[in-house]
Amino acid sequence: MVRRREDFQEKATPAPPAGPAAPVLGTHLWLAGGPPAPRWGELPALIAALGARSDGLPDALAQALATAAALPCPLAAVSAALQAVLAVRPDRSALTVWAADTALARWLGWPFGLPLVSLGLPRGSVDLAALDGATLAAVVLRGSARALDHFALLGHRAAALQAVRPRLRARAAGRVVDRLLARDALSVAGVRDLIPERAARRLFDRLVALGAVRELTGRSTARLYGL
Amino acid sequence: MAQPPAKALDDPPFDRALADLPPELRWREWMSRVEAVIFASPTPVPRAVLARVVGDDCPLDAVIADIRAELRPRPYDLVAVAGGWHHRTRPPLAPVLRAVHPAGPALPALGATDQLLLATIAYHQPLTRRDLERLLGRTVDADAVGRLRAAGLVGPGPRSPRPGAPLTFVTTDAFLDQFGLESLADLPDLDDLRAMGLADTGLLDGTPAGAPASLEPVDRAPLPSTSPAFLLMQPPRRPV
Repeated sequence: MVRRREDFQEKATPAPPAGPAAPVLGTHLWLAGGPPAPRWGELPALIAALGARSDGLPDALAQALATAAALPCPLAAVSAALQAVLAVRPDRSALTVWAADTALARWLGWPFGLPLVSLGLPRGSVDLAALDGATLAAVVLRGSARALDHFALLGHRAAALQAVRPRLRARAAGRVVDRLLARDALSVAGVRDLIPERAARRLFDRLVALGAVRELTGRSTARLYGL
Repeated sequence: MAQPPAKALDDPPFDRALADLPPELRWREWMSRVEAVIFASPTPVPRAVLARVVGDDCPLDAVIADIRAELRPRPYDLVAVAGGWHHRTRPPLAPVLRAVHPAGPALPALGATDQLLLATIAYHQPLTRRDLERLLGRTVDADAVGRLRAAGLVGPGPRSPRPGAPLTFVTTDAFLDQFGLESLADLPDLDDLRAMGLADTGLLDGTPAGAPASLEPVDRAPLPSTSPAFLLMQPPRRPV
């Protein structure tokens, strides 16, 4: 049931804008979209989008990550994934961290991938090649703790949003709420395929007034809404 | 068994594995199959396609290395580009091909102004035309950006979060292919360029790079005023 809703959202969402940040957003949405193992065939395209395109690297890296995820210990899987990318493309930090998260998500086999490594890395520049076993364990542990923090906070806000769902009268309100729950931030343009622009503005205003959704940017134009 | 490989692709009883051939013959057959497929294709051939004509136990990289060794005296080579393999003329012969094709089928001639514009977009993307004007200190007309868009090097990015939601510009994958870059992370470092004297300030537009006139957040790094090194690189050409 949940899975089918996700499928629908994938198709209904308008094409993501291009630009340097688009592949990073796209790959992390892919990771959050479900278990990585059944969709492993899409991996070469994602690796290519993150900047490892030549020398047959997309296929080779997808293979290497699958091998890493088959290791008996999750930390060994993360480490092997990091090393596999660092060995061929030492300067692609976004690709390196995402590959580690993907290998870990496949090893864990959870229904949705969580970016435990990305969340656990300290802010600022990190020398990924210098991560040894103990540091890596600390990183994954800190990532898990942060994920739990986010879960507590966002779970609370999501429950608040679900609570106001019956009070919304706009026609596509249910699907807009679903998409708000699935994405970090939404603009009016991001729901254009579900609901007319004016109706979307009114709906978002009402959600903000009800306290279910926040305006995230503080801008008066090009506003973004999210939990 | 001795049928031409490119044609044999369509035949249902196509023998991929070639298990009954002696090793040398088998290797030779693999080499001709791989080279035939790459030769016949107008676009780079990815690994997955090559794997369809040779068996799973074929070491593709070694086969391709052998083909390249055989091509060494030839004026073209088998190179890995854009996620696959392709025949390309060797770079020293670029002037010869350019003499035949003055504008070239792929890359139109870009003037100095267009090159500066392209470099600015490459380093500061995504940015709007207004951002470009602030950075360059002069008017940037829509035609100039339009030429780059027509050449396929620049495409539309996300809308800028400012009143009027102006369109931003970003470089495309064709831009990366043209200049032999794998990702935007491979753009030459601006500090290195400046150290090499390739990114002087204030040559084209008279404003010092990174002048305090621009208060925009996009002004992260000062800007190269001459063509940076990636614009001086010659993109390889296909054999004519």
